Amino acid sequence: MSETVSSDKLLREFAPQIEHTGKYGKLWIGFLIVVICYGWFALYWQVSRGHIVTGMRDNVVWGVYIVNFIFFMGISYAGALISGTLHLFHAEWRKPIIRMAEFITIISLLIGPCFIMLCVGRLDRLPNLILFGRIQSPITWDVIAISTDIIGCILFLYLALLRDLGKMRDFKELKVPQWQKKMYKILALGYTGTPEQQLMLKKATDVMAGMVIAIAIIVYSVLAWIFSVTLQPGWHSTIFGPYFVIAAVYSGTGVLIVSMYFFRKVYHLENHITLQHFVNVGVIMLVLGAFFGYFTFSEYLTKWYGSEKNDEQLIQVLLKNYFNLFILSNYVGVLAPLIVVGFKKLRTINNITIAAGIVVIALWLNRYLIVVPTLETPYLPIQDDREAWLHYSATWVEWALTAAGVAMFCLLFTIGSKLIPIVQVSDLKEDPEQPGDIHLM
Amino acid sequence: MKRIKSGIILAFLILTGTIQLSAQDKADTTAPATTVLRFTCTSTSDDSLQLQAVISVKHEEGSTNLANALVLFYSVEQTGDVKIGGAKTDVHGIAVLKIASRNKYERNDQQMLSLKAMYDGNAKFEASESEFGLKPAKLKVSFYEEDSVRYVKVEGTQLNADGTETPITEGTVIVGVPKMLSILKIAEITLDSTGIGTAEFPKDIIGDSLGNLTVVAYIEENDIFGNIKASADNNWGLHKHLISPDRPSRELWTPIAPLWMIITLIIMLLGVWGHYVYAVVQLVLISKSAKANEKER
Amino acid sequence: MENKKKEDNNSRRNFLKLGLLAGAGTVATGALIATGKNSGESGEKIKVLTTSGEVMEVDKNFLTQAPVGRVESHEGIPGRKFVMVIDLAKCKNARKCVEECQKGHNLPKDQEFMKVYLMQDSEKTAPYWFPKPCYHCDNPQCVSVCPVGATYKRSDGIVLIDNERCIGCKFCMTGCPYSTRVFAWKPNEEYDIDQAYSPEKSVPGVEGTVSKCDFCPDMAREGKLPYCASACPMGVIYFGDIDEDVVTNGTETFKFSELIRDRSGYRYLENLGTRPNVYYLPPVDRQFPVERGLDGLDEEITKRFDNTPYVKNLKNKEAK
Repeated sequence: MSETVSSDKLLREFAPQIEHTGKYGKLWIGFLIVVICYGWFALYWQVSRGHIVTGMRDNVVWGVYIVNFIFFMGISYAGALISGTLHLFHAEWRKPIIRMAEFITIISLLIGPCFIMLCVGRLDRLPNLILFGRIQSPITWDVIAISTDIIGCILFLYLALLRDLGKMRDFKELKVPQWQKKMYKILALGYTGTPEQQLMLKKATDVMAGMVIAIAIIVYSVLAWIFSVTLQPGWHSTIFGPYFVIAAVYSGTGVLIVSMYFFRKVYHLENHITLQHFVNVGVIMLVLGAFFGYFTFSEYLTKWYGSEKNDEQLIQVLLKNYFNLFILSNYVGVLAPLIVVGFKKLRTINNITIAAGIVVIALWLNRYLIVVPTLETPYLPIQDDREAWLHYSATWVEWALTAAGVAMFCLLFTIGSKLIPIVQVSDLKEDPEQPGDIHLM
Repeated sequence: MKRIKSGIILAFLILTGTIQLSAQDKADTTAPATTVLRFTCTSTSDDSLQLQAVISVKHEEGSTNLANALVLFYSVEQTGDVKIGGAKTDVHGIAVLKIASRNKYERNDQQMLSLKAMYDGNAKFEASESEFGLKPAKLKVSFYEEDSVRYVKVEGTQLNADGTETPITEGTVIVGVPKMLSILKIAEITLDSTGIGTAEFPKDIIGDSLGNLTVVAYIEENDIFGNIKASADNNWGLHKHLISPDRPSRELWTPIAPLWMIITLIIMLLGVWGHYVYAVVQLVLISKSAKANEKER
Repeated sequence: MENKKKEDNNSRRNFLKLGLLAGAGTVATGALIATGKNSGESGEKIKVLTTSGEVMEVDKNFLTQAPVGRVESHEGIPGRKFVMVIDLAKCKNARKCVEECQKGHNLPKDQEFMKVYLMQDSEKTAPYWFPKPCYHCDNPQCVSVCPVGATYKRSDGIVLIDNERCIGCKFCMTGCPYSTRVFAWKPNEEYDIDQAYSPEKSVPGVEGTVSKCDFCPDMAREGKLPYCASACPMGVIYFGDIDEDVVTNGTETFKFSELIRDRSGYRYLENLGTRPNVYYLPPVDRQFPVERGLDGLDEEITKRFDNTPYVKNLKNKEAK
């Protein structure tokens, strides 16, 4: 009984976010739409004029698009880890932030694959992937894995939403359009929270939490294998699977912290999301950061120490042409969270968020440094008179579409938060100011 | 729609084409194009002579072979040219005529036939002609084995005007095996005073899948005999062993995936989707229990 | 009749042997015009000059056999396994192979199926010119990674690309360790593919797809050498059937195994395990000094080699 009361109280608190959008909110949405339209224009430009408008050429055949693909797929892992793992470990403090994590997962899972499609020369022939699919190709693995992942994550998010949807349906004070109420009603499946239903829901959620973690590992490994099954010196590495998985979760926690910061500010969630949450997620980020640093280090150390001809060439290019990016992504990106979260005194919400922002950027760059310099140093030297064939640099089309992808992410996130409370309403403890300490990580 | 379009384009092309052609006609009447006729004769082992003429037309961009041109072949004799026959060139500009080696055409004091190929030309193309002299001859290729060593034997014979045959006592015969794109030379045989030459037959020539080989022997551009060709078959070749007779059916690069891959994929998909189904079933049960609850109320 | 055939010239013989129709019939002018632009054209035109003075652009189909269709081109030429041998000792970067290949395959100028590199294995070793076609590997990474089977390996060893199935994911381009493949980054304005397509047809890839050296199977079916091999003035490139153990550059014919044995033939980057079907003869006893390859090139071609240590050294010496 007390749970119902508290949920209603919470719903009343969150109702304004769902009921109306303020001036700044509208402005924000408008801005995002403009950016997305710019992206559409770039897409039109690319489709009508061919891939020649991108910076990609015969040697660097994959560029910023594939980096964005890896990046978005990576942050999608945040939801899987945070909500899946924390659910299985019954970490109570997770509750105010798992909705966000799950949103990140679904939205980035929808955006990520769009970027690989931008890389594809003949979009009209995409059905061939299913019509003539070859199981031997890692791209087919990817198609299967990503679609399985999307469905699994949607199912998991839905299970997590079910109780809230029931609450929303029963919360009569909510002033939203009729269609929205109807939507809550249909989606809630008549869930009323009887013990029997609770048990069923718990069974399903437990199973899906495990599955989501497993699939996310598979998806991210498969993604890594697209690179590591080839013979390219910078890619042909056995640790790429786990390396990509760790990098993915790492960037995902970064994005989670950043979005926690903004939603906290915008929706005034100070009561629910506290410094302790930032620190807890920050600690996860720190651990992952250490792992990421370790993987990066062993990847480059072995290459550098062995100094096989082509590896040496790649490292030279990395340290010569990409020195600043290399340092930023592989040193600053690892050290920032270690320092900020590692020292108690530095653990403020702002600091942790800044560190998380650095992590997000560093991890994007990390993928760039994996993709581009490798393609610029093939086995046979590139001997070409055309500058674009020698060095890759992304064009406005690629940047516009990248911006549009980020804007789309933000837009979907905003819209999502307008439909469902961004903080889980049901069985949130009445006393959210004292979340349990992180004990399992 | 596409058909109509191409029809219109076709009509247009024909129209403009005709105009251009008539313009070309005028130009051509003023200056006929130079043609080049290459004429060669080859004695073949079936006692015939193969007369071959190739006509090409020179122009700025190089030369193009002339098709559908009638080439007449003559024997150049003291009393004048005696017509042998004619043949039209094919699309590659080649006209071929076969005549018997033992023929009645006049020979010179070296017993050589003097043959001529002529293209009469027309308003657009100049006439051209070329002569070729040769004494009919023939080569015979045979094989024998002695002390388990295999030999190829070539016999050269000249066909005299009076119908007698005398050996070719000098000249180098090249013996080879025709392969996909060219002839692989296996021996160069110098004929002795009896017109016979032999060479050891190499052991490592690859034939067809049964070891069958075609062996050709030829003398080319000889001052007296022109070209002579002959061939014979044997089964001394190594059996052609196809390096990839059966393609591996389940490799990474073949259309069908390796078995382990398919099995792994099925296991993983079944595992994951089985759990999904379980979760969905729970949702259905929730929905059912909700309906039951409602009824109770 | 039997004898006649045998004494016909060799290439013709093989041509017949392949079971293809030799295009030897005379061409009736009127009939050709009448056929006009009909179905079944290959689009490849042969110039035929007839006695009426007309240069007829006769479709190849009317002269020879119908081109091998899309489905048939998935099967190799029966009983063949093609191999190429490139004699580095003779190469002087004349680039005729590149040019003829581009012409033969109707490629735009910025696409090369055959590339010539200026290689220098290490600082103190001698530089040499290195023509590089597709290696048509027996363990082709590009084929393994293709998600739709658009690139495939045939029984005759040739790796082809079906341009009508390729989705343009470019995975094969990263899969190939030899940078062999090229992508059609923009629509090809110079060549408009307007007829039934077959992977064996020498046409450039449509926009957004991948293409590469195809070992000219259409030429092999006619008993001809690939464009690069027949174009090379030095006879650098030998081509043949490895099962037959014979390769030729058009003027010389060698036993493949003897050539490889006597000249220490090798395959490039053997350690990658791709098992190429292109062999190299090392640049020993060269016929030309390497710098000869830099003579008489267009500036844009010379520019390619500006970053190689060899050319840098040359320039430094000149500066001194």
